[in-house]
Amino acid sequence: MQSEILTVVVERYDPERDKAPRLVTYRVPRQEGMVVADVLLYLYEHEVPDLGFLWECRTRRCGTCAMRVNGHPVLTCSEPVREDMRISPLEGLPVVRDLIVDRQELQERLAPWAGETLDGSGKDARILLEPGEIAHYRALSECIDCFICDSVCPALAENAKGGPQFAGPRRLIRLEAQVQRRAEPLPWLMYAAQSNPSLCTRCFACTEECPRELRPAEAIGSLTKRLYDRHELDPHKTAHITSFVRSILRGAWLDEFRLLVDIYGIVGVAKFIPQALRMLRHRKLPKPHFGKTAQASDIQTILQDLDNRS
Amino acid sequence: MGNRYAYFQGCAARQSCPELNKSTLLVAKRLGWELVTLECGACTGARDLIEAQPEMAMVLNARTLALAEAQGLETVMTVCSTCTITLRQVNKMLKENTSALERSNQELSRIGLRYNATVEVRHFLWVLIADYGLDRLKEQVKRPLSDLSVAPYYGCHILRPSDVLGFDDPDNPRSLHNLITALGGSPADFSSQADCCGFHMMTIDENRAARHAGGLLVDAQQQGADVMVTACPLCHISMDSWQPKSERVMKRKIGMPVIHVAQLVGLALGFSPRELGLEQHIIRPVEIIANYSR
Ligand code: SF4
Ligand code: SF4
Ligand code: SF4
Ligand code: FES
Repeated sequence: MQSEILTVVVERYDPERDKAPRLVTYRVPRQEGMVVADVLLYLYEHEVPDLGFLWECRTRRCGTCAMRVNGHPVLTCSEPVREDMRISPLEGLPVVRDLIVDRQELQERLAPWAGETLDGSGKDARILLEPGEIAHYRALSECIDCFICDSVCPALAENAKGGPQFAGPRRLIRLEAQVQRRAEPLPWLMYAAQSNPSLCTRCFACTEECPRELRPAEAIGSLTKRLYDRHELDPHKTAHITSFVRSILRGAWLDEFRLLVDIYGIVGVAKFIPQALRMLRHRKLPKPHFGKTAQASDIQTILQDLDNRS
Repeated sequence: MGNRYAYFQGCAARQSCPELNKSTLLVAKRLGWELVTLECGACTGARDLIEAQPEMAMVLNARTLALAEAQGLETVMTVCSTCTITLRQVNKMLKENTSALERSNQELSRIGLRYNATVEVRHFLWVLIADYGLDRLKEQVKRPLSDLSVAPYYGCHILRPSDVLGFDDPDNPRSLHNLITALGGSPADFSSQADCCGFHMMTIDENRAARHAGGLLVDAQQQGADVMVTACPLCHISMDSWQPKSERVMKRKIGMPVIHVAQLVGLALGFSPRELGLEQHIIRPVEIIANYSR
């Protein structure tokens, strides 16, 4: 049985008054086909005229209505209501008021490549795409800037602690879309390189939560490949990939010892000596592989023609 | 047929987490599973190959799947979440995309192999729950983990993306919780149970990675967990082998033992901490070793 009245807890926050968000419980009459944004609208019209929340298109197009319902990020304009909802702002972004978050700071990072003529020629450098590529490009370019992927990204959250900054999945998926349709993608790829895509932890939270199923994590994988192919990927990640390929071709399994040498160099690995001694004491130290494994020549046979890095 | 599995160890269980391999074999034997180790398999290439050399990753993993198929095995059982996601991604593509399967078979034919896309890739935890069953497992418990508060750590690649993994709900995963309860222990809920340990960018920025891992450990500790359990040796490396680094970066003592799922099951089945290699962990679970050695 569905109840006639919905109980809704809203996370409210007024920076002038509150030190921390307050949880306020409201009761709202349920209507046929109601979505979460309807609940907020009802509250605004009947009970809470100062409730802060945003929505525009109501058709999953503008991305402004993204919030969390019971901790899960959704577009509230299309999310059906359920019993016992807790509505809160997106996590990971500063709260302006109630359910409104400040997207400005993250938005501004888009600025350097907001223009269309990055190749410096002043001409539009877009290219014609093959039919198969069009579908892929359109999918990527359907990002509605809802910020859900950024809000769940652990690598983006780490930026606050300083060090090299990660641009986040939303920006990177847009760069991938640009790169796909440019005759000369290099300037866009350079922005991708400066965005530190290797700081992405490959956790797939963005892919899981994107309401338009655009798969930003896979777009970061694709940018990584493009940068790797053009020798523009950062040296550690490049060495990491190359070492995997080499290990697999030589001995089928990853040689963990060589991986470290490939990345840090013989001198560089010295810093791991205390860790290595600890691992040795616990009988966990990976041994370098010597010689080929039985299956190595099979693996070389099937993979030899497939290395498509120039 | 029902309890024969191709066992894909993965690199970590062959090298820096040998205790994972050891305890998996013990538990499988006790439960009457027949494991056919894919000794001549190969590393999945983890996230590196599938991103940067996708054709290589496809053919390499098609070979592993074909090796299992050729021996009449229906399930490739993994013990590493990253192996699971990578093998499943490739397998999904080969099942859905005939031209990908054809291209792979063209390469495989050079070594007399062929893949017909009949194999499934499943993690040890899934096999335990879906094939063996937690009710049956309960009957095998010799030493319930009644005094243990266990933090169930899922991490990423066993959950997300759910259209590749699909066993558990990424927003509210339950498999480890249910397993812990079946073994007589109590799951210690903690909010970062499905957050990322940072393993895959460890060589890019060690301090960042150490903070990712350290944050989870502290969270579990604050929920009163005695020990954390993980389904992935890579998570284990970042949270156990590198926990001293997390402690340095976060400027605090943590001291949270982290063990593998197979070890947790093994303890309840009556194996000794020594047999399960618990003393090999960098953060030794001293209390468990003391209490379960008797
Ligand atoms: S990629 Fe998806 S989740 Fe991210 S901003 Fe665009 S539409 Fe939203
Ligand atoms: S996969 Fe990368 S970009 Fe996506 S949420 Fe995880 S860390 Fe962020
Ligand atoms: S994915 Fe990781 S653990 Fe699995 S086989 Fe490859 S390197 Fe080893
Ligand atoms: S109101 Fe525009 S996407 Fe929801």
